[in-house]
Amino acid sequence: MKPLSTVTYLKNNAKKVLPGFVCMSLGVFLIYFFSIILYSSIYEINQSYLNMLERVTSVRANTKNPISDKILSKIKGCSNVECIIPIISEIGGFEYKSPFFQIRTEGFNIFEEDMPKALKIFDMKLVEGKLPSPNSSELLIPLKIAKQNKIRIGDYIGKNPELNVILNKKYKVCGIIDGTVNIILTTNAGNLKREEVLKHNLIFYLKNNNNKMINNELTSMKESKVTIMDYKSAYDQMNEVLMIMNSLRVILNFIVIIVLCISIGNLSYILFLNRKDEFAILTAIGYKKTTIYKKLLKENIALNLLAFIVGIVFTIIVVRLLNIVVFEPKGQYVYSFDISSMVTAFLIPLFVSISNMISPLRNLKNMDHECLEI
Amino acid sequence: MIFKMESVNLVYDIGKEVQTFALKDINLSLDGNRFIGIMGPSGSGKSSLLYAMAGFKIPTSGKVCYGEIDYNKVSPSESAEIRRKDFGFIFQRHFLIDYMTVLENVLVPINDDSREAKIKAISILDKLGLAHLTSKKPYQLSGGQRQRVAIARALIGDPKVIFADEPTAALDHSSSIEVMKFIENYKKDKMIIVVTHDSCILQNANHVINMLDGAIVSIDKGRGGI
Amino acid sequence: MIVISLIIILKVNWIRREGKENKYLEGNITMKALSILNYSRKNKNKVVSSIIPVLIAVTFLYLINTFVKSINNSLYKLSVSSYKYYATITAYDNEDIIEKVKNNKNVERIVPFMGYGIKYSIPGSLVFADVMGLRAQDMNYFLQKESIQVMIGRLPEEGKKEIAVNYLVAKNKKVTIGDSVGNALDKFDGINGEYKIVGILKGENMLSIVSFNNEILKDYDDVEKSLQRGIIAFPEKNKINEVNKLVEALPKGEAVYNTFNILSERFNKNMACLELLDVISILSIFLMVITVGSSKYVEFFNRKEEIGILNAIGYNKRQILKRAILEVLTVNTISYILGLLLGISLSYLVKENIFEKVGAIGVVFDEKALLISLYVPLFTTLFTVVPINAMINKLDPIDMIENN
Repeated sequence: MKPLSTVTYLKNNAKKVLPGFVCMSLGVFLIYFFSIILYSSIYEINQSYLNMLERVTSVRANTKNPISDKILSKIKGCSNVECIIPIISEIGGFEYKSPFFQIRTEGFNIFEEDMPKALKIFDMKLVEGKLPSPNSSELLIPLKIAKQNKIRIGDYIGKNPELNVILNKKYKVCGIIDGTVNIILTTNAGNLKREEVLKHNLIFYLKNNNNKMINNELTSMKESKVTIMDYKSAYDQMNEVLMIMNSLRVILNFIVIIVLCISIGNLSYILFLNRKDEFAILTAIGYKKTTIYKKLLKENIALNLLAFIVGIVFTIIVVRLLNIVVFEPKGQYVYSFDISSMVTAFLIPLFVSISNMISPLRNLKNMDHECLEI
Repeated sequence: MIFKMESVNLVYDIGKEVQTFALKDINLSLDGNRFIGIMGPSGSGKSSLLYAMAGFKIPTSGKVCYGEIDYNKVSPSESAEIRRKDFGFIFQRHFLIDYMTVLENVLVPINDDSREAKIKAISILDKLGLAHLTSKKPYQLSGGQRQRVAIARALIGDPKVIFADEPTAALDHSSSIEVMKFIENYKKDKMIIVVTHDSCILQNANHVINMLDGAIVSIDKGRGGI
Repeated sequence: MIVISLIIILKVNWIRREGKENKYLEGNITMKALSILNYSRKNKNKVVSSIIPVLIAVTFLYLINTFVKSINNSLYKLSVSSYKYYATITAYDNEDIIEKVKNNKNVERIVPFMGYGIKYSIPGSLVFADVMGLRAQDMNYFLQKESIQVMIGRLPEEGKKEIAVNYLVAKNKKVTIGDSVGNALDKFDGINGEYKIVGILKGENMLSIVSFNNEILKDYDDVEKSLQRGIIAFPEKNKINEVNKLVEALPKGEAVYNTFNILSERFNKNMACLELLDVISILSIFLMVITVGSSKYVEFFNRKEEIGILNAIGYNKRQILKRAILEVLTVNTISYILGLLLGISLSYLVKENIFEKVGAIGVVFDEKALLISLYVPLFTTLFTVVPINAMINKLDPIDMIENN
């Protein structure tokens, strides 16, 4: 290795640069850890709520009166609507807990012939058990909720707050489904006719999900006796709450950056001052000041980048371990890899590198050969 | 003419209350491969003369030329290039880089880690009696050994001129003699300029420039001393 | 910490006074060469850059903890505090349970109700504020038992679609008398149609009241809506614990039982998800301590020469250590006090502008926050002093002088 190379410097000064290195790695760990837990929580909330509305729009009458014909004919007449599923009733729900938040998942009572359609629309697969038989009070529950509350096929659940579930009567769990939407399904139609039910509560699925014009048209009709729940309104609502958590993340990042800039800046400035003789002799020997700047910059960047990588890898390992030990038994999961969180964490070495270089560069500029004298 | 100085004045702290006239109206020309000493008491301007010749300090007035190059007319980075290629420096303080080994320190001016460079460095260290210390760090050496490493560093780039500013001031008597003996070996191939206040080490100098209060008082041929 | 800062303030004053007495300096205030004040004066940059990280850490931790406590307190008032005076049984299919409770000697009265909700959104939480649908004959009894007063306006009339809203909930929805709520206006409200606000309520909890109108009566008889139907069991005087025990002993799975104990437990379990923020706090403390501690240690390391000279001159190691500890302690105490002041001010601002604006409860002073934010200067001091102590003990003045 060349004597003035970065590797030579880092290898020979490992002990001296260690404190700054460790601090940087820890800072990166903190921010990345917080970011990915937040990201995973939001992902799981989406699964319980937004993902469903991403695929379907819910239209429900507020009163005992049926949905107006105007709305029904609009929905039936729209070419983009692929299928309409009438909802016989909402049977209650589960509370699902993610690391940071918890959210309620609703259960739906639908017609037997709509069951496979519903599973297809929500992209859910039956992983265990069977579909519910009609009028038998049998229930399909999502895998995550089964895991979180340790519910197995054959269990009876109804009003069990200790299992975070309150349903309108006792149901037998006959199947477990898994996919991108947490939804609970049963089919107990009794003697109800499809057309009648359709007039009170339905969900519809679009052929082309990118063209959500029908939602806007329905909302603009401003029917006060009908509630139209679509993705956009739910998203705006969720955003209000999530905004606070995201702000917290930004503030935490900002604070860690400031504290590290000051402290690591202190540390590296002191290290720099202790190398003044080295820089003096290099200038005397004939190395240009720009060469020395570049050397300093390369060392700084190499060290901080290395610390960043170590921090990220450490976080990924910790999260994977936590998943096995803490989260998965609770039916939760934290994703260990997320680009946007990495970018947030990357801001730390970026800003610290920049602030580290300011004082030394200023110092080097003013350095003169007087320091070579006794 | 390797070095030519015409009416060189060097003034420090211009604009401040007390100005220091380090060099007053210096006219000097040096050439050839020889051992030149610059002598004088403390504050006589001998180090300033060396800095002016090496291009560290641009004179306040007057002209300093190295060969065809006028220091007034080149940029600092060009002047740095000249130093790297043609000059070697030995200072009173060794200025070895504390986290590098002896071998790495010697290779610093050429920043080369090829086999040839290493062999060259080791042969120079061998002549200095330090070949067995190549992997030691500066803090593991004695004062004399460190200064010899500094000399090896000054020689690795095959410089045309060697500048030495009080090279033996921090050494004991026997180390001083050894160091000077080694430097003097090169007077046939290079120009060696040694600045000192100790006349003993200039015994074998070809010329000695005596300085007092920033001006050249006399230039003696042969033995040094006023 | 307070005692120490008092000592420091007194010492500073004493130093000042001493200086004024020295006539040779012709009115210049002097201080002992080795005093901390002298060091701070001449090294303003270093001192400031030591104070700032700890200050920021203290402020941040204090703020986070008061923020979380505010959310906590608000949600507690929303969901748990009303159960101090009653227990409820909802979603029952079996009338026998109700009979059993009605006939118990500790139960003063049973009030049937329908449970609805209106949207209540505060930072970090989107929930429902309870709306109780009561019969006209039960309303005043309910208000009296729950210590709820009608601040403005009146109670809703029987048969009409009117609502009396709790003032905090009204603030949250930015509505007042004359406005309306309901899912006809806000699709996230949990009550069908449109209800006109005729009164504002105030009490220890955040309950709102509607009366049994046509819609609600229909809901009451509707099997589909059984999850919202229930009874409130009001205890005889001072018999709330007995009533709670009674309800908790009823057969599981037949209905949903809510008592103060059950809800407190569930509330604490739910709030446990904010435990994660505690983990983040601890990690932050860890990070700050290592960062700031090592930075200060390196600073001291660079003053080895100064310390070596002092030792050579004749100050013994204990005196030097004392000076070092005093320096570190002063910096950290100042940081803590300033950080606390900043944290309290910011908490106040957050309370006024973020929580109280949306009808929630804001917390400014909190013990846990004070304690957790204390950990940073405390551990930083420890983490700095221990290695400095080791360094000073290993010091050899001659080595120091000769090396340079």
